[in-house]
Amino acid sequence: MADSADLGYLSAAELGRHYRDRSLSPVEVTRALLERIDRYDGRLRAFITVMADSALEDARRAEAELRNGEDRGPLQGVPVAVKDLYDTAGVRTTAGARILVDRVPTWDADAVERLRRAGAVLIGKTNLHEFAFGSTTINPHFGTCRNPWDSSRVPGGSSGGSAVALAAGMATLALGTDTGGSIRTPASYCGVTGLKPTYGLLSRFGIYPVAADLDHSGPYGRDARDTALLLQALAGYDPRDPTSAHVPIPDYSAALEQDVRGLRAGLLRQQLDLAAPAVRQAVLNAGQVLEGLGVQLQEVELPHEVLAVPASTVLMFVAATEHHRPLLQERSQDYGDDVRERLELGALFSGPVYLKAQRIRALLIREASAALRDVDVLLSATNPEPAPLIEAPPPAIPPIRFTRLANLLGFPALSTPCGASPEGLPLGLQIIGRPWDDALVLRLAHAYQQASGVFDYRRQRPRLDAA
Amino acid sequence: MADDTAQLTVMAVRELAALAGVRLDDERAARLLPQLQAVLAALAAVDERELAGVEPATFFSLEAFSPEQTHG
Repeated sequence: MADSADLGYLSAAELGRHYRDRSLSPVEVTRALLERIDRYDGRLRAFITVMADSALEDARRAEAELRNGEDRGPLQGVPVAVKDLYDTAGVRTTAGARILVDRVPTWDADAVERLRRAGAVLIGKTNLHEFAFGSTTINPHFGTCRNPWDSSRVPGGSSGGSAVALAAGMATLALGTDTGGSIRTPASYCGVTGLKPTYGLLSRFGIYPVAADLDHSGPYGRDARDTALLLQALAGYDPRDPTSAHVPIPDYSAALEQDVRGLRAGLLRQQLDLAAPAVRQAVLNAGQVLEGLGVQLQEVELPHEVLAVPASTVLMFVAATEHHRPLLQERSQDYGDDVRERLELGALFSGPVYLKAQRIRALLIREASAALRDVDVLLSATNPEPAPLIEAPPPAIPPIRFTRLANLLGFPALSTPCGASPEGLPLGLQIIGRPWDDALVLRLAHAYQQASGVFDYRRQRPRLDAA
Repeated sequence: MADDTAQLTVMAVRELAALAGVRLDDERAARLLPQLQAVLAALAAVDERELAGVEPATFFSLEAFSPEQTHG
């Protein structure tokens, strides 16, 4: 088991078993992943900061603790990549921005604190769209992040580096954030699993904001099982985040094993009709797999779904502009062109327009809640098309067309791989659940992944040496 | 609310930005104008009757929800 590819693609669940029967050690695995970063990241640009020395220290500590019988649980010794939007004490946190290139926080984000308590190995800080305000991870300051399945294509954003790190076997788990699809789009484009949890389930403390009432912290894994493991470590009340919720935290891994027979899933017809043919077919195929598992499928329409993008544009852009205004006035030239333009657009929406967007948000919550009385989850494609070329002009239907809705709702939404385009690019299925039903969303994704075998990294990996 | 988005001009965009403390030259304002018009037109297309009785979601908390409450 010395091959770095094998070690790079072991799941967190598998690593945990190997660590405890001593067939592998955290130091051995961390070294292997650091070698892979060294070998592949010059081209992929998944990382802004590789934490090689401290990662090996983390690994040695985990190894010693396990040897002494101090078991911190399933993340102990597991390499986790952290989006460079999460504060890390003593390690620079740039938000992917030139303006913050030298920023070194003295505190950890809540999620990072929880990872440290769980004994995880923090392997590095991942690349992102500047200030998490875009969906490509074409970053003018830290390099364009590339899709491991086809390096001429984007990995999606804003959490592109985190998804790339997983797909390329350079990390076992990863953290992302999602304001309009920033976890789910990279998950879809890169063939991994990403969850935007229910708003309030995970603390936002120590995460550089885009728009406070749309921002979500969330976990990535190569599959739903690993995503559940990471969610377990991250979920819970944090008094430092005023929107953090006091809710019971279920056992997400145990929930995966429950049967999905009899669950009801609603296909979002409006979104499916807009998807490219290969994407639409992949989602329909996934629906058939779910039906084979005993899930009852029906079509669902949300009357005002089409308003999710314009309403969220107003809410997100206004909030981001207000936050950035002092910097925009003083250092406008230090922003990338696309991000500066979005921030300038956010300055143009009036108070009444903002409140109308909030009324539309309330209307959409009402409509989605009504739909979720008849079905247990809503299904759609994660994105209208597979990953676009880096050099391509913006697509006619924006990548975030199907993801923004769940940020307005605050409901949990996950992207799981559901097939490949004719070019071999990963495609994503989005599963939206009821608030606090994150476990059910994960359960359905897990059942689907087990039944379909799509993007099982034991059999199917990107050809990085050819990329 | 500017429902008639066709009346927006580059100068009006510059003035709106200035009100928010953001300086724009004519070129940038001209780039933003169609984007602003597109968003405003999309929102203006909503029939006010459909929003009757819908309060803005300015207070946003899901703590009152539970899976049990929304199960059919």
